[in-house]
Amino acid sequence: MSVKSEASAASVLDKANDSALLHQGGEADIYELVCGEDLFALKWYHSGCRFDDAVVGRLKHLNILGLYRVRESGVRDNTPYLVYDFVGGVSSADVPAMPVAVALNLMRRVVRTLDALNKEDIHHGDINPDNILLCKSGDHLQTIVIDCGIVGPGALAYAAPERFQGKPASAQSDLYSLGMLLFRWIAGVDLLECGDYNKLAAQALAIDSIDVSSRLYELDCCSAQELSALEPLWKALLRAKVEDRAEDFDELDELLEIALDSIGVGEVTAQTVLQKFADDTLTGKMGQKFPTTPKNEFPYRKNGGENKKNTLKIAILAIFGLILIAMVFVVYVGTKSPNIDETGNLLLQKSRSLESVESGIENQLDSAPDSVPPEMLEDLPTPVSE
Amino acid sequence: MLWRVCYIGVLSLTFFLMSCVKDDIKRGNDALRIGDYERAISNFSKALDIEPANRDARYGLALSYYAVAEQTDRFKDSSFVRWSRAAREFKILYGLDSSGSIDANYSTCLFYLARATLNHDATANVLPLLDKSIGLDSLNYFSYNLKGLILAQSSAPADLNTAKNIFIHIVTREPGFVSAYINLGNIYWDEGDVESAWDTWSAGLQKAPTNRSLIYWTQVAEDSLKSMVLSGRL
Repeated sequence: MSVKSEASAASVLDKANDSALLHQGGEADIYELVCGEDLFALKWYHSGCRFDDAVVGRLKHLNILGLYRVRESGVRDNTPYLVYDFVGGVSSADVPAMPVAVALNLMRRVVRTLDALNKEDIHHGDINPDNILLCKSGDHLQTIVIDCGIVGPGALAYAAPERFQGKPASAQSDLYSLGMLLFRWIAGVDLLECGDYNKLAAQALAIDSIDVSSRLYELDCCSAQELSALEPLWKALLRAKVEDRAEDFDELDELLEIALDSIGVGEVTAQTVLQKFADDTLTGKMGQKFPTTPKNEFPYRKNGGENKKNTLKIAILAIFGLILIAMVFVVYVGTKSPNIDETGNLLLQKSRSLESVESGIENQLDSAPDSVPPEMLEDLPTPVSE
Repeated sequence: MLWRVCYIGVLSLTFFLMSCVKDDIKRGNDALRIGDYERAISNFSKALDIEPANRDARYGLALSYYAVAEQTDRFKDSSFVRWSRAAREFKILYGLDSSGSIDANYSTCLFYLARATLNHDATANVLPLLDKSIGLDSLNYFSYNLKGLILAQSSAPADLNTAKNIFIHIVTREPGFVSAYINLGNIYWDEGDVESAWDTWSAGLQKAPTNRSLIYWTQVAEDSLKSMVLSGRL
């Protein structure tokens, strides 16, 4: 697994004209990037953390309802990064405990998204409240799944037991995480709350022994009817053995539908409940980006600026170079004298003038034409030009 | 760092010397063109001291010696040594530049050297020099003419015939070369062929109507022919 660098020529990182830190996580920091009218989210990984390049590479070409759109990935300043469309929503980790009907409805949307992803043979691997964003779209409440392709077990409290054993993400591990997520949404707290890796691994392995309904009952967040409706879900999701969990997302969706039916929530009621939840809980937070730093703080060095500076330098140097060449040319042409070959040709032309032939003969008047050496040589026509 | 400084130093010195050579050549060339031959020789020699294989400097030096020797010829002084020097420079130059650009001047220089050699020693065999001169420049009719004259002095009929052919070659290729008409007519005259001598001289006279030698000797040949007709020998 490797992280490949993308061509930075058209990189969103270089096109961004503003940036703000939105969230500091254990794995990465999230920045908002402003590129003119467009908003992007930048996931800037911490040292030692990275994403699954193969998964992210495929995500860029997918357009699944409820799944974030990855626009760019690569390495900048020796740091892996991801750029995806900014989602103007609220992390499900930041909302209080949900009514069971709301949680079940939202869970169905997440399941449909993960099912579509599963059909592309991609498994999320890090389902947790932070990675499910809640967005209002008109009167509807939507879920957006983000951060696919994690390397490692992901959020430990939500990781399936086999993930602690180093096994790769699978549909079954995602199903387990969905069970944990559903509990969190309903209860407002995690089912497994110990932060220690080994203890969490042990608890995950012993998940079968945890009476989830009793925990919910203790937390006083569900009615008896709801506890009863939820029981099949815990049995299909929160199981240590893979084979004991639901077979696939379709089965889970059916279980969710049954649960909703058991608590008497039909389609119309569900929409009403969701809308009320959105109005009560999300109105104040929706679209709020919670920047933790002033804007214009980029975690990377922008190439665009450097390139512009370099281009300017090259342009200035080129102008000076041209001026220098022009000056040299003017000096050269201005001081150019005939070369030695021209002088040689001039001498030859003078020497070979045929006038000298005649002039040489004219001196012969007093001597017979048949006179020969030594007279011959004196009167011999020569190339000399008199 | 030291290597860089040395490298830049050597490079700068090379450029400096190159510019010196170019300046000397330019000065030598200017001096040569205005007739200051001694200064030209001095400048070209300086350039050659720095760069002995510089073609332009060598050519300039050869031309300077050539010009000095030619000047000596004009004053009817002995020019053998000077032409020898000029020919030596051309010989060295020929080793540097065999492109043909200097061949005409080298050929002329060899003609002069042959002539100066004969002036210096009338018995010297200069035919190899003249052959080399003609080999360098087949349009150098001065060398052809001298070779023809030398062969014409020979008593061997073959040489005389060759001399005739040479003069015929000259007047055919360069009808303005008046001396060749005179010399060819001379051979016919010596052979007693007055008619051919008159033909040749009168042809030359058509090319150079004011040439006093041709006027004179054409008239002599014409008178001889008349006399021969009157006496019944023709």
